[in-house]
Amino acid sequence: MKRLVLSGIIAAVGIMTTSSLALIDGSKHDLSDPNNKIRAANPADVNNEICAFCHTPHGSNTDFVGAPLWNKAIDTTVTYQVYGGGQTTGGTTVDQPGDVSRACLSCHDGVNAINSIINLPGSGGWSSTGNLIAFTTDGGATTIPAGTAATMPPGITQIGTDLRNDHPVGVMYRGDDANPPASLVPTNTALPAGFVIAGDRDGNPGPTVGDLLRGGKVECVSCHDPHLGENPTFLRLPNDNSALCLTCHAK
Amino acid sequence: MSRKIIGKVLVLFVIGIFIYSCGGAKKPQKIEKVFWPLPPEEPRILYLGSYHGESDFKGRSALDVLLGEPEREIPKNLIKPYGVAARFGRILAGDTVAAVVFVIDPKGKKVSFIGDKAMGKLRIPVGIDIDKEGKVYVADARNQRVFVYDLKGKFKTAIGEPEGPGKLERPAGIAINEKNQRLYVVDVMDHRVKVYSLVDGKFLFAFGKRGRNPGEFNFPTNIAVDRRNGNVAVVDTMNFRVQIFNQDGKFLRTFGKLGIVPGTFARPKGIGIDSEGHIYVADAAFNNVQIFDDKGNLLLWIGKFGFGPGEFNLPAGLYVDRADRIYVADSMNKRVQVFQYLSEAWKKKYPEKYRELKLYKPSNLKKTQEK
Amino acid sequence: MTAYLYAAEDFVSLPVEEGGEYEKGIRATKHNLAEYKGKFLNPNIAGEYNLALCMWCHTQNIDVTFVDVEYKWDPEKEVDKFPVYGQTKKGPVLKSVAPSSMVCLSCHDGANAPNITFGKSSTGTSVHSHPVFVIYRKDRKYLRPYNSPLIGWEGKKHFVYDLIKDYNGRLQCASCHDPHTTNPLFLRSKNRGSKLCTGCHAL
Repeated sequence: MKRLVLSGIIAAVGIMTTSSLALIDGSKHDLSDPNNKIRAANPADVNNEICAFCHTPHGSNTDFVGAPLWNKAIDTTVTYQVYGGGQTTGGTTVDQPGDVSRACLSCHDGVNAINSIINLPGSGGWSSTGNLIAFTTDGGATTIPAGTAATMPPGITQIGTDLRNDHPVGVMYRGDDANPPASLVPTNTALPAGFVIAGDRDGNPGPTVGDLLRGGKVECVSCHDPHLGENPTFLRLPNDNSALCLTCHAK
Repeated sequence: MSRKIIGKVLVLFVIGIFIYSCGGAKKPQKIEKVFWPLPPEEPRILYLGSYHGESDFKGRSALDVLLGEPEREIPKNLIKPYGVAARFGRILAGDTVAAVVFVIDPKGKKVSFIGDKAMGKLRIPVGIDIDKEGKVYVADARNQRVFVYDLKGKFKTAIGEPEGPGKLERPAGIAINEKNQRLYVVDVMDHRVKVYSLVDGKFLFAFGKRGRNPGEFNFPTNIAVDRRNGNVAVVDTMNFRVQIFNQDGKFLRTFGKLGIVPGTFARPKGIGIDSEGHIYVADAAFNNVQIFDDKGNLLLWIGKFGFGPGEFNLPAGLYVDRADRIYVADSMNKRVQVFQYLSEAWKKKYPEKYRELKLYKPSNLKKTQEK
Repeated sequence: MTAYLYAAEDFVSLPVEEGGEYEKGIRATKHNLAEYKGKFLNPNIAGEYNLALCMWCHTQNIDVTFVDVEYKWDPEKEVDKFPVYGQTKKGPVLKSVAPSSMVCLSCHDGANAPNITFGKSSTGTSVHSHPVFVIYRKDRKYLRPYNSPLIGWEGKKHFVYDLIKDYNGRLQCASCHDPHTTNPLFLRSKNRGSKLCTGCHAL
């Protein structure tokens, strides 16, 4: 009896710890979840795995360094129409999105295939050009067969190649200038409580605005964390009262 | 007054030396001679040097360091070399991660690449050899072919049939016999040695099959040709032995077994044969190279685990060139190490160097002796 | 495993455990390099024994009685057994790479078995393979603490700490892989639903 209770407690603890921290599981980025509209047609094709759509522990795409152990074939020659035609209203040059943003755009630009997986779960199944698995973008009503590229359907999730109507990425963060544009705060400003961030990148102690930048620039990951399923739009901080915007723009 | 000036000059001098040593191209350093066996025995193997890739020749000049110039481009170096070969003053090293063959030219101080262009793009280069016309043969384990290029990297042809007995399941080590114009390819997954013609690339015959008996293999990997008589020595890796056949595939003899003592093998990989018939076998478990005569008697072993000269970390391919230089692909140390077998011909050609070795007294004899 | 303490000659007299825990595992996998057409290609031991499946990696425990070994080029040189896989008589040389990982890499070179490499790109991102030989940073944002439980992992790994405690706190091949298991890809835990990944990554 004691044993049963003990094992029951251990199991409960185990389930608790795993489920409370299961962020991407069940979110829109869980492309094996049968409840999602945009997902693998047969999750069993990928062993119901979640990580494999973007990452693989061996045999990753060595040509792409925007994200670690990348598991998709990605066309980095895609040229995007950038915000403001190349310049913000504050006069900052807007470049092409950095590699780290291209990782996001490789699903959200409507050009690269979402269902491309270089190293499929299980033995074998490695293709340098990417295996295209059976996919659906309407919850299973229609199936895009294996071997056919599935791109992001039109709608709000299709950021597309025209980034003029999106917050600029690939743009230098000029919060440390004497007269910063857009009321940007300096990079050593502390981030508000509850801001999800991993690692201290900028050398200023503690979580600061500088840690959100990549190579000094704003990228998709400055505001979003693709694993953070707790937030419906994967924001690092819920935008109640525009708290996320106000982290960088002191308006 | 003059003291102050001397002091300043001295400080500047020291700073200058510091800057110079910070970023200068690697200059050959005076190191202890590394050779085996130590006196009073007759010296046999001499360590010549190591090659890593472009960084052996490229470096930042002292002026660049002073001005704070960033590294212009990252030098391409070996990541995990396996196959190795050498001829015409070039060292060829196949890198299974970078998926190219490095062509290192120590005299010309430059590195070029083979197998990186669309025609003949390599996936996993393993065995390498080079014929007298300068044609480079590279076995690609993934593409199931032996690709042929010229030294500049231009793809010429592919050897290996799509079907039938000439099909290569997973080619690894290769060896060329110039005299009978044959290419011997070890097929790891098919447990056979397949022989092709150098003239037209056609499949000639195969020998061996999976098994334990003499003449049978269990995951063989590498092969070398005895240039004196055309015999081939095959590393029968998972039978932990070396088997010797004549040029037509007739079994002659075998030596070695699984063990952890000298004369046995645990992970035998690269093999090479010098001009006097001595057989060199690299073992990745022992991190050394064992040397046998052509009857299989153990002569010596050199090396142990480590990163310095004559030390190895997972040695893989091995090649002995026509001048009795031994090349070992030191895979986890990301380099190719070169040694010289001190043959009678070498001793005649370099009597001064030979004398130096005979009379050499290492500064700390006890320390340099191998355990 | 008491079997490891005996020299090969003694293996002959040990009773072969039918369906012993480890033997059953390897026999049905790609790591069975010894069996061909119902017989064992047995390198050292007379007769056929299931323990032939072990010799490829557990080489250190081979019989070392050697007969008459002499180096013809250096007759005075001491004859002793070779230390294997990056060890010396005193133990492993490197703190970061465990000998068990060297055993894996000695075959996973592209020729004997699929090639495995690891390392960072010039920008610092991991490429080729999951980071290995690095310290498990338990205080990182998305990594679970040492006492986070692992359910159903092979080889008595009950907590994250068990995966690195024998290796100076560093990840090795054996942290995720168990070469004796029948799980696909020799993973300690079947990765259905990415459960192996989420054992350490709190994502």
